[in-house]
Amino acid sequence: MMNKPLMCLLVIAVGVPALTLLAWLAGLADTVPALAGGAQHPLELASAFACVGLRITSLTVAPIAGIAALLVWTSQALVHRRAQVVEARGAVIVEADAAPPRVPNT
Amino acid sequence: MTLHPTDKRRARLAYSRAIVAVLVATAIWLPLLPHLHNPTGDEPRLLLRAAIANVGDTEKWRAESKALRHGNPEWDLMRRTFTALALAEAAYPGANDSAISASALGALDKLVDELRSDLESAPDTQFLLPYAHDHAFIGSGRSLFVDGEVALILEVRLLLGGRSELVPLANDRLGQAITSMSAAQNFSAESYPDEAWTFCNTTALAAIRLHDARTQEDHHDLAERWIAHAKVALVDQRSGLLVSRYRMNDGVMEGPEGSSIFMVAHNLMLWDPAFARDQYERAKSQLVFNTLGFGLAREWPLGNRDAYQDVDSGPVVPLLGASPGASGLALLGATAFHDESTQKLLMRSLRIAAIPRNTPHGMTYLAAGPMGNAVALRALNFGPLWRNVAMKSPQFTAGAIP
Repeated sequence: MMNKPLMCLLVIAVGVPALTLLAWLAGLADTVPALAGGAQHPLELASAFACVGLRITSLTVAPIAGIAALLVWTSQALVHRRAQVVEARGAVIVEADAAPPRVPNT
Repeated sequence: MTLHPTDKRRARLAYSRAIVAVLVATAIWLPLLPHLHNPTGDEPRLLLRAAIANVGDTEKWRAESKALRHGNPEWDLMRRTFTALALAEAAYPGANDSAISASALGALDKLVDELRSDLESAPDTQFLLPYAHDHAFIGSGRSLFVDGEVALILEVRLLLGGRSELVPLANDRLGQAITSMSAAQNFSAESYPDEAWTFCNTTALAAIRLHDARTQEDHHDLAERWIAHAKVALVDQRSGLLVSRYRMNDGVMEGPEGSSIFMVAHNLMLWDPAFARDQYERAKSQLVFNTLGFGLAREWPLGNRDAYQDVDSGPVVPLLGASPGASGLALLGATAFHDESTQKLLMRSLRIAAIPRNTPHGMTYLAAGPMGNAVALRALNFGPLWRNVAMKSPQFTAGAIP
């Protein structure tokens, strides 16, 4: 059920807010005022940009990834469920890319 | 490793499904996003309470002043001006919250006393960028930036009554500004050697207007002459906006800037409301823009090739061209001119990008720094003081609006 795109979406949806939270808990948010001038060190400025970038990504990209992951998972679940129902009825699911019918050698 | 055709098809299907899902999710989330960042309505009060506490905490206030001076010494004085204006609005009779009025007045008094102490202990150049020493001033040898802002702080305090011991200093600073402006051919005084700013000249004019409101003196001749001259010589032909920085012979050094024009319009409303509104509307249409429900302001009108990022604009956002300085001051313009829709758009940006954080006494915008917070404080606490003085202004229109 878990394919690569779904994994990526989940990593963004959960990972970015988690990183943001970690940055905040680590006190990196205290460097944010450096953006308004007065940065004492380039690292301080980098940390400030990272904090703001993470926050904005958490509020924009991460929720989009979360919603998309939910949509993908739901659609996969529906397809899977449909396949189960069809199988239960004794039907044979023919894959579109299944091996072509045997052609007699000529 | 090679994939079986069925696996390839499944992978393709999974990626296509993910892309469609991301597009659908974007279409769902982006329209919701601005509504999740609408202003709560508490911001003006919370910022004010934080400012009152901040001014009361001498150690913290001085540390912030020191940090501001490290970046730009002007900001130390400008922060005091914006804070003083907001505190005076809160302490002005008729302000909404009487409980906060007394503490606002106390904080304003402390701010004024700190300023006096700083002015006594060091020359005015403490508030100027180092290039103030590069050449000699052409006019009186004084900086209108310092005289105008100090006079404005003192005049708003005096307008609230009491503190008559401040009158000599206020009169001295205002007198210097009036003398310098009256003596100049273009009625402008220098902020730096052979360098005048519409920001500083209109700030001085605002201080003069508050002085007239308090003392019933009449300096409308000077204001009328400055505005009439500005309409002819200082309006950028392309944008119709007042330029920011110019030589004493009116040679333009920097054209219109978002970090100047909104404050200029805010100041001019005390003398010429029609011209002030015209400048605000032009600035709004050329500088303020809406991205996905969030309002931002450019530092320069589109197509201005000579513009460059500096300490006033702040770091300009790539691609969008938005400037924190212009966006903050656009908020001041929007509140001053009752432009609620623009105010809401700009407030959303402040909420998402400036990172509001609750403090024990109120709130602060983390990314805005002390200067940005002072501008937001003033913008959101624009009120009865400025409006009453504006309403009592001599109704003149010095020359036609260009």
